[in-house]
Parts: sequence; C-alpha cells; structure tokens
Amino acid sequence: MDINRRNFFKIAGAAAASTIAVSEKPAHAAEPPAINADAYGCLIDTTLCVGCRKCEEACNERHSLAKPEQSFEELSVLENERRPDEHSYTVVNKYYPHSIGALTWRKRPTFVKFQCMHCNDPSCVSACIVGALVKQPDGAVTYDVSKCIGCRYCMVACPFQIPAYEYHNALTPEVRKCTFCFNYVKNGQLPACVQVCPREAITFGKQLELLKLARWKMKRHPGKYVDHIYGEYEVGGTSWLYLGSEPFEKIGFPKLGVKAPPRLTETIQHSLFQYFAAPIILYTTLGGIMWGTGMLKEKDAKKENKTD
Amino acid sequence: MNAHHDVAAPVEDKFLTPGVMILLALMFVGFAFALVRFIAGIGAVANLNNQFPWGLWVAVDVATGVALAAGGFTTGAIAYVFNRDQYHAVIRPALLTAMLGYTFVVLGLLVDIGRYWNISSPIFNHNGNSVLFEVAICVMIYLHVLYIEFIPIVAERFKGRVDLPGPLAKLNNQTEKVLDIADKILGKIMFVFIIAGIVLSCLHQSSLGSLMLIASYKVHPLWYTPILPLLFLLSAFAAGYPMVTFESIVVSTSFGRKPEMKVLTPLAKYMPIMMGLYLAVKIGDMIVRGTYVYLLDGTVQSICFIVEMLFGVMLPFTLLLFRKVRHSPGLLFFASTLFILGILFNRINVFLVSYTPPYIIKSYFPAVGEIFITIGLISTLMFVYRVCVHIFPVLGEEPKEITKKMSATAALSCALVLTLGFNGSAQAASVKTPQNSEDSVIAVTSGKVPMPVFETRTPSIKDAPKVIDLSSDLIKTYSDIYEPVRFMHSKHANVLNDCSICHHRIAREEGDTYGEPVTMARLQELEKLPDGCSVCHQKPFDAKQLHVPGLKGSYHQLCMDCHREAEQVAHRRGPVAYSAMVRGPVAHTLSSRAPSDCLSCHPKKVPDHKNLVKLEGTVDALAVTQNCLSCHEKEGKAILKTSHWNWHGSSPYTVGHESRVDLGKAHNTINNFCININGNWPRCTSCHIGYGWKDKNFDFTDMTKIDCLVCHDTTKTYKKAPPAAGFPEKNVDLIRVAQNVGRPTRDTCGMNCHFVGGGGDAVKHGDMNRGLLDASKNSDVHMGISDGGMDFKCQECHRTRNHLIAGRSISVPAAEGDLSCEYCHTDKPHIGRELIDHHLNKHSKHIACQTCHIPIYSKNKPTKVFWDWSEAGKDIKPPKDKYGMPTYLKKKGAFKWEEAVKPSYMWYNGTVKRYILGDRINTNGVTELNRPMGDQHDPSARIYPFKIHRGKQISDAVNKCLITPQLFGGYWKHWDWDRACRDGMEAAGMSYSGEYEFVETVMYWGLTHEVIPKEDALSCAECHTPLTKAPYCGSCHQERPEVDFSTLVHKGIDFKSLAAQGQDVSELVGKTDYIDFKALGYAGDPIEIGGRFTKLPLGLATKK
Repeated sequence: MDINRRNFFKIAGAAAASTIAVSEKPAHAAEPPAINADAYGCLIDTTLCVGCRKCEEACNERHSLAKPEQSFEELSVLENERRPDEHSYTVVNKYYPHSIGALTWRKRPTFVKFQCMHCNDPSCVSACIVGALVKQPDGAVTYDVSKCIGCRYCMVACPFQIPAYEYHNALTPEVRKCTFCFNYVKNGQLPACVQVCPREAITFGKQLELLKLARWKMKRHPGKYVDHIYGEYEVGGTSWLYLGSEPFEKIGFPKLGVKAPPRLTETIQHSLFQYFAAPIILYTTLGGIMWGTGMLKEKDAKKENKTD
Repeated sequence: MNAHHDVAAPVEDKFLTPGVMILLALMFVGFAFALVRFIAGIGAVANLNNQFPWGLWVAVDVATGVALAAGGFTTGAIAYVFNRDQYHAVIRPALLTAMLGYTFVVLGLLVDIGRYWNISSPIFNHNGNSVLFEVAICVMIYLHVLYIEFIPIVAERFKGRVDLPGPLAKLNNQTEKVLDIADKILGKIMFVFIIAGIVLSCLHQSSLGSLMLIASYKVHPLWYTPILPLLFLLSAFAAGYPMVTFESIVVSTSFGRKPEMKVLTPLAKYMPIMMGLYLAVKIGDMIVRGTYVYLLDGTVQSICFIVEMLFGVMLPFTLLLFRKVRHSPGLLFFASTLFILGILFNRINVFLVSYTPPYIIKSYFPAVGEIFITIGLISTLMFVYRVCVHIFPVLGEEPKEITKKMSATAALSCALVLTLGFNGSAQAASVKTPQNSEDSVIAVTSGKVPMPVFETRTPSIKDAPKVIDLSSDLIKTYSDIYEPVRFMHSKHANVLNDCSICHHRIAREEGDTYGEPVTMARLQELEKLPDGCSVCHQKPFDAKQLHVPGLKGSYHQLCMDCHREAEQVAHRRGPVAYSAMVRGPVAHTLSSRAPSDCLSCHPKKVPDHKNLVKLEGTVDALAVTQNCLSCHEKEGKAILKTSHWNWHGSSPYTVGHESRVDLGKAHNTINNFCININGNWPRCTSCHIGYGWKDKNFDFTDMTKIDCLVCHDTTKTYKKAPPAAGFPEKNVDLIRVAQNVGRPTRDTCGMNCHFVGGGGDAVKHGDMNRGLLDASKNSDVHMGISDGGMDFKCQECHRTRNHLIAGRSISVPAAEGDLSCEYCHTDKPHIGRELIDHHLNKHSKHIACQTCHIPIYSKNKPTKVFWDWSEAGKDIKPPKDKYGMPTYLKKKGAFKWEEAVKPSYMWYNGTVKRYILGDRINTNGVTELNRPMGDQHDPSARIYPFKIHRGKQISDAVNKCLITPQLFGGYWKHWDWDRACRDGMEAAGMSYSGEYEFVETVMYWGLTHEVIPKEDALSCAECHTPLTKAPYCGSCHQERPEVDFSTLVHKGIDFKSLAAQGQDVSELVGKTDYIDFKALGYAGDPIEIGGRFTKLPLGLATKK
C-alpha cells in the first residue's frame, strides 16, 4: 500500500488519539490502603463535649502556638463558627439544634471539636509535591517542614479543609495542622487534647477498637446517637472518628463520599507513568511522524525538482 | 532542521514608545507589590486565606500562562513534526513567547509559593503520587528544553559579533567557539528537543487539569470530571494557534507592520478543528455525567460556565468556520482573542470559581496586590519580549502598514482581556456546591461487654462523708490545671435525695438492666480501694475496657451532665425557697440551675509567682501593685467595682434606700463602736484594701492604689500598719509576700480585718474571732480543722466572682450576693426518715437554721456588748473583768464584755432599717442604728439570733442627730469633745450646733458563724417547755418501744458539760424557755397554741 500523505496522517492521528484515550482512562483502580492494625485514632463523642475549650488551650500550649487575644476561658467565641488555622490546630464549634417543628425537645447545643482527621488515605499526602506530608503507621499524618516549598496544594486537596498556612510569614511560612502529637504518642503519651479533656469526650485508642467502641455506644444507648460513625467510611476512612446525636451535616461536617480522592488521581498518574509508557509511546509516535513527513517532503521536493 | 530564518532579523524601530512607558509604569507598580510580598509575606499583599489557598496567581500566572504558552509546542509540532515549512515564520515568535511565558510561570510561582528559596526541593524529594510533582518536573525540564531551542537564535545573533565589555573581552574568542559548537551540535540534534518539548507539554498541560481532581469535594461538578486532564490538553492544543495569531497580529500592529496573513490564514484552518474537538469532548462529558442539570441553577458557577462555553468556545469556533473570518486580520484577531479569553476564563473557573470549599468563612477576591503583581508580571513579559525582538532575530524583517481598524480591534481586545480577566476571577463566595452524595452505610454490629457483678445491698447516707476532696494523683497525671473539687456530699445528697443518681446502678450480670447501686460500704466489703469511683474508673483509654471512662472523665461526665440538666432534674425541693438572706417570701429562686463552668467547682491553681514577680531590692507597696497590674489589669478593674474597695455599694436590703448605691461606711453609715470614718481616715482605712486613703480626696478610680497583698498573702507575714491609711508595716518583706501570693485564706480575711473589727479581736462580730483560724469542730463545724471539721475556706461559702464576694452583714448596707445555709442544706435540711426529721424540717419556714445551730455565740473569746463613750477622757484604771478584758480605756471610754452568750431572737425578713448619717435620733428612747425588719405576721420573716451591742455615743443636742467626732488625731490628742465634734462634722460636711450630748444607741449583729455540731444544737425541750415533762412527745404520738421520748426531746446542747469545761454558761443550764415566744408575738408556745399561720391538728390548742 502506498503511504501517501493523507493516509499517513490518518493512521498517525488514530494512533495518537488512542494513546491519549488509553492513558486518560483509569487502567486499574488502585487499592486504598487498609487500616493499619497499629494505627491509633480518636473517637470524639460530641454528646459529651461541653465546649470548655480546654483542648484548644492544651494544644496551644503543647505546640507553643501564638496566644489568642481572648483567653481560652472566654466561651463567647464559640458563637461564631471557627476553623482550625495557623494559630490553633483545633477549635471547638457550637451548633444549635435545628428546628424540627414541634419536636425541638432538644435545646442543648452540640459542641464539635475539629482538627485534622488523619485520613487513612490522605489527600494531602498524595498531593504533596515533595512528600513533606506522610501518613505514619501509627495513624498520624505528619509534616516535614524542611521539604516543604509552600505550594499549599495540600490545602487545596484536603476534603476537610484543615491545613492552614502562615501567610504573614515572609521567609519561613509553614503549613500548620494537628500533629496528632506524633512525638508524644510515639513515646506512649497521649495527645494534648485527649489528655486534658475533662469529660473524656475524646477516646484515644487503636482505630479498629474505636470503631467497635462506637458501635457499642450506639447499641448501649439506643436513640442517643444518629446511626453514623463519621469518619468510618468518609473519604476512605479517617483515624479520628465522631459520634453525634444530630445529623453530621447539621453540626458542621462536610458530606463526603466513601471514595478517597487520591484513588482517582493516583490511578491516572500511575497509568500514565507506569514504566514511562505513555511518554515513550508519544515520543516514538511523534518521532515516527516527523521521519515520515520528512521523507514525504523530500519526495515532494524531488518531484517538484523533476517537474521543474 | 534548518529553519528558514533568513527573513528574521532584530527589530530596529524606536524602543521607547508611549506603550512601553505604560508597561514600565505597570512593571514598577508590580515590582513594588512584589517587594512587599517578599518582605512582609504573602498575606500582606494577597487575599489568599486558609479557605482559598490558591488564587489569581495560580489561576492566571501559572495555569493560564502555561496554557497560553501552548503556541510554542503546537507550532513546533506543525512546522517540524509535520514538516509544514510555510509556518516557520511564526515559529520564532511562538518559541520566544513560550520561553518567556514559562519563565514567567516560574517567576509567578516564586511569588506564590511560600518557601520560594526551597523551590529546588522537588528535585531531591519525590512524591510520585503527586500530580503537582509531575507538573513541576515537567515544567522544569521543558523550560530548559525551550532555552536550548532558543540557543540557535542567540548563536545566529552573536556568532562572529561577540564583543564582551571590559575585562571580559578576553573571553570573546572562547564564547565565540562555544556558540559555534552549540549551534553546530544543536542543529543536528534539535529534533530531539523539539519532540521532547511536545511530549513534555502534552504531559504537563494535561496534568495541570489533574491538579484539581484531588479536590473532588471542592470543585463544582460543572467542571469536575475525571477527564479534566484531557480537556486541559485539548484546550491547550486549541489555544496554541489562536495565541500565535493574537501575538503575531499584536506585534505587527505594535511595530506598524502588515499582519502575516499568509501564514496565519492557513494556520487558522486548524483552529476550528481543535476547538471543535475540545467542544465536543466537553459537551459529551457534560451529557455523560449529567451535569447539565446545574446549567440553569443561576449560581455564579453556572453563569460562569455558560459564559465560558458560549463566548469562550462556541463563538470563536463558529466564527472560525467562516472563510471570511480566517482571511480578515481583524476578525481573525477577534476570534482568536475570544478563544484566548475563553481559555483564561476556563482556567480561572477551574481554579477559582469552581472551588467551593465546605467552610467559607472569608470569601476570596483577588487583592489589589495580587492583581498588580500579575499585571506587573505580564507587563514585564511583554517588555522583555520587546527587548528580545530588538536584540534577537525573531520577527520577520520587512515593515508593513497597518490599518486603523485593526489597531482599534486590538485595543478593544486588550481591554476585554483585562476586564474579563479580573471579573472572571470573582469568586463565588457564599454558594455552596452540591457535593457528591455517596453516603456511607454503617453496619452496626454488636460488641460484647464485660460487666462487673455485685450483690444487692441497700445504701445508707449514714456511711457517707459530708465533704470529699475529689483529688487523685491519677487525674493529676493527665492534667493539673485546677485544684481539687471540694465536693459537698451532704449537699448533693440533700438536693438530689436519690443516691443512685451518682452511685449509678451497675448491672449485676450481663443483660441486667436494673442493676444495683454501688456504695462505699459495699466496695469496702469487697476490700477494694476505699476511694469510691476509682474502683472501676481508673486510667483512661485502657485498651482492655475502652468503654469505661477514666476517673477524670467519669467525675466530669457524671457531675456536669447533672449540673447541665439541673433545670430538668426533678428537684423535689428547689435549692432555696425561704431565707432571710434572700429577700422576699418565696425568694427569687436563685437560678436553680447548678453551675457547670470549670471555676464554679474548681479553684484555678495559682501559678508559682516566684518567677513571675519581677521585683528586686527594696520596693514600696505601690511598686508591688504596679507589678501585679502588669498582668492582672482586668482584675484591677474588677476591684474598682467592689464594695471592699469602695466601702459603699448598692443597698437593696436597706429599707427606704433600696435603689441607692452610695450607702456604706465610706461616708454615711455609723456604728456605736468607733462611730464613723469622717475625719478618722488614716486609722479606719488601715482595713481598706488600698493604699493612701488618708482623706476624703482619695481617688477610687486609681487601680495603682489597690492593695493586692492584704488578701492574697500566703506567708501570714503581711500586716497593715494601724494608722497608715492602709500602707503595710515597714518590716514586711514585700517581695517575699508578692512572690508567694495565693488564694485568700481565713488568715487574710480574718486575721487583719474581719476577726478584729471594732479595734480588736472579737470586738465587733459576736460570731467571728481569731479563734477560728485554727478552730476545732466544736467552734465551727464548717471551719473546724481538728476533730473532723471540714476546714472550709471563707470563699467556699462566700462564693467569689470577679472579686465580688457573696454574703452580707446586717451592719453594712452594701451587698454583692446572697448567701444562706439553704444554699447547701436546702429548706428541708434534716435528712432522714425519722419523725423527728419531719418535725425539724417544719421549723425551717419559721426559724432560721442559725437559731438552733448557734445556741451561744462568742464561744471562745469575749465580745464587746456595751461601749460608753461618755466616760472617755479620764485618767483612771479600773480593774479588768472576769474574762481579763479591760473595762476602761481613756481613749474609748467604758466597756462590757461577754463570752458564750445566749443570742437575742428577733424576726428578720432580710431587710434592715438603718440609721443614715443626718437622720434624727430617737428622742424618746434608744436609737437603733440598724434594725432587722419583719414580724410574726410576715411570711418571709423567720426567727434569727442576734448579738446586741449597746452604746452611748455623742450626739448633737440641738439638731438631734448623731455626731461623727474626729477621734484619730483629734479627741485622742486634745481630749476636747467639742473640738472633735466640730472637726469631725466639718469633715463629714455636716453642721454642728456647738452643743453635744451622749445618747443611747443599739446595734444588732447577725450570727452565722460559729455553727455548733448538730449534736449540740438546741434540744426540743430547751424552747418548748411542754416537752420537758411526760409524756413528752406522747401527747400526740403513740409510744414506740424503740424510741425514748425523754431522750429524744433532750437531745442537744449540754450546757452542764460546757460549764464544766469552763465555758461561761452556767446560767443557761436547764433553761426551757430559750426563745421567748411571747416577746416574738406568739400568745404562747406554738407547740401548744399552734403556729403563726396554722392551727394545730387534733384540736390540741383548744384543749388547753
């Protein structure tokens, strides 16, 4: 078959298109990491929290964070929804019960402590360009500032909107978030917030045990909790788990699916770069076209010369 | 690969045009903002926050920058890979644009990333999972490829013309050689780089799209699609030629040349194909995913999407389908510009508009700084481009004419770019995106629970301690912020009347839903640790029994749940219903809600002030206060509002003066001890919590005069000098005291002030003296330290908040809070199921607790009961009395003392009639300086015990009002009453007639301290004579073998043995009319005639 110019492009185009199509399609679904049997976690029973802010204070002290303007004894700050930021790795928010007509028997607000959820399959870890964020075997997602370049992609990636950034630090800004008191837990101690919580609203333990405990609590107190352990399945599961007596969307939690976002991006990335297949195929294809069109051009040139 | 660059040459037009001047100005502004960013941080110039970590810089400088630099690889592809030579004319400008574009992407990144100096980190630290890592490495390599591709152009410009300045001229030859070699080698292998460039571009153009895929819950579904990388790649393909066209026409216009339509028109042929492909995939994706449902939402996102698609893709696509458009420079320029704007808008949409994080506390709109840095970067790029085309052979040579129409279109388009660019980045702030709603399903599986097993047992309150210090080393290891709770067990038992609320039932076996209460006795029986809750509740988070809260957790859960529920718990008897200390018949039930904040149960630990107090050498008291205030300004301000500071305050319980706020001993109350402060300041104010109140001009708004140490000393060494207006004695080591401050103790409250009122120990108050400092239980059950007393601090009853101290004295009008026995003991204080408890509880509506439980006052120390000022001024020395107390002092006159006194009983409803300075005295008898109000018919009044202090004090014989004589520095110096009266009255601002007399006055002092143990309270028989003889209780009650009525009615205080111990109570032995019912308004003993509001049952009264 005579390869003329038109045919060549048809073939080349189809090849290129198929390369792209193949490379963009998830070739195989990457398995999410299973829960490590050694992984610690925390179970926060929001029905026990009274919003005393002791956890915020303890966290602030342990991490030597900037002291807030108002003391931690000032409880009026709970009236506004706050988020963890560069000066506070954890905050407690107050949510008033939502009216459900005549059935507003429950007048008590719900207090919810927010901090890094330490996901089983953390988006921030997957996103971090330099691997500064690492999911440790004991459950903590830790941050190594020496690697960080400050791109804030982790902040974009986090489905819980947790990592915060020191925007006003000109030279050495850091991403700040709950450390799960990694260095303390490693040495058999407790995270500061867990340790100080007067009501033991935060139960510290092995993540798998905590799930059992959560189910035990729900069974032992029928009707007290909504039938949902927040963090059991959300974005592939989180090391920090929550029990609550109100639907979680009503007390400040984002409604998330069960799939961990890194599964999609990592699948795309790994399919594209497995053995550098896609770049090499593309490179050789282009090289081939270049060679082919070059040959055709020379042929044409010769023809033209002849006709001339 | 030899490019046809014989047509390209450096531009030789005038460099500095007005346009360039504007560029320079914009560059300068951008540079200034960039400088601020690098000196003060990103936060100083950008509106980026924790909700929106990426803003204009990422969307425009980086994402759009990369997309619009696509001209480089797309023209490379067509010219070299597909060997279409006719496009070589646009290759060089496109390459330059790409090279500069990517350079500025990196510059933009340097501005955006926080640790820009660490930008090389990705080279050493790899995260293969990260899309951004791939982008970064790709862009880095590609940038180098672009520079390499540009080398031939540099070589062409300088080959044979290298002329380095100054000392570098020596290197001319070498440079020449390098250029030559580079040019030669590159000429042969350039195709490697060109293909690499295309591959790298494909990779990172698509990966830029993958960037946002990880934020699956934050990106609006209109844009969020797994094929986002493909869309980015296709749009980059499509953007290449429009960008080249745009740029070529702008450059031509700018240099006054004719547009290169010869090249651009054929290039334009490919545009609709690329755009069409992009459009088709994009619409196909929308249909497949069904996201078209969001199109008509009316949200910012849906509008932006429609605008992007209609004007950014569909319109240019449609336009470019027309031959006429492709051939007309103006229209082609317009269509290209539209598409470029579409791409810009698309990138802004993907990175900013679609980005809707779950919590938006502060929305994002680019700050002026961000915008100007971006504009500055673009301006610099354009400027450098201009510089480059002046130096390097980039553009075609021959100058050509341009039409006016074209310049107008170009200007319009530029304006459009800017406007749309900024508007497009407007962030949809408050709109929350519908998120993927794959909800998790939770399977509840049963967990097995080990349950402790106990036998049934009836609990008993008798076993229980009254007060427990809830303290445990176990708790302290976890947090040690507060001092232990003094848990008033009796109080809780009284109020709750149900032990099992706290001693919760524990299942005896698995599945037992009733269980049995846990009691101390039972636990002791089981030989477990005798500390209650900690038998089961120990260390928290025990892996073996995670469901059992630790000790700290159980205390707080149990206590606080109940306290927070207090309104809802059925308190069978509210805490306080009747108490004279709480005004009104059914007193405003004090908030029946139990406190649930930390400080209402725990005192906060006082930190060690050894290092906090920064004082050295010899300091005066004022310097100490300064030091205190440097941390405790808030407390200082609070002090200024207290009656301890002002010595006056609101007087809601003083009849006729309920709404006044100025009554107090600072000005206008008077007593029959030392009389009044006016003229006597330096002496009187030695009890004031301040320094320097030596005359009426003392500044009560000056915090620096506060004496912190008098209340917070823990060394027991701080003493105020008697006549020094509050200043301490010279020999006090103030630094040591300041370094050891703590909570007030009985020493600080009593030692210097409250125990020694009236000028000496026990002089004024009948129920307080220094004996209480180390009291036994017999002196006071609450304050007793030995014999099982409860060792209360003053503030355990006198609750203190913001330095306002609950409790009040009948002798002074200011009050800062109620206090009564019922707060703890309730109005049915006698717990127990016996009949006697029932009878005793019936008393509490008519008789104050103190009446029976403080049968005698001044048990340990004689107190002054009479003071005669008229005798003063004589140089005599009468003998001391039987207690060894002086009965005469020249300065003060004659006294009488008494010890272990039977109180006087009066009705009292909590309000007081008070003599205020200037009031007329009672000319017909004794003037009452304060009188408890209430009578038998007042339901809120109850019978209270009082100490009565009588006096003879100086009065104006004409004006008939009491006089405030100047004693200190006055009478005590010159012994002249007339002069003392004149000076004193002048100081008080009152008139004095010049004639004085001595009149009789009386004061009533309430008795609430020195509570005797309950076994020693008044017995029934001591008040009720009929009960002293048979048949005792038998008048009404049938005899019961196990109850001895005679013992029962006599059970109580034993004056006989007290007398034997040396107490002066012999005259009280055998008394059966302790309370004089007739004097109180009853016709007789109520036990015989019935109560004040009720008749006796069974007609007993009529029998008499």
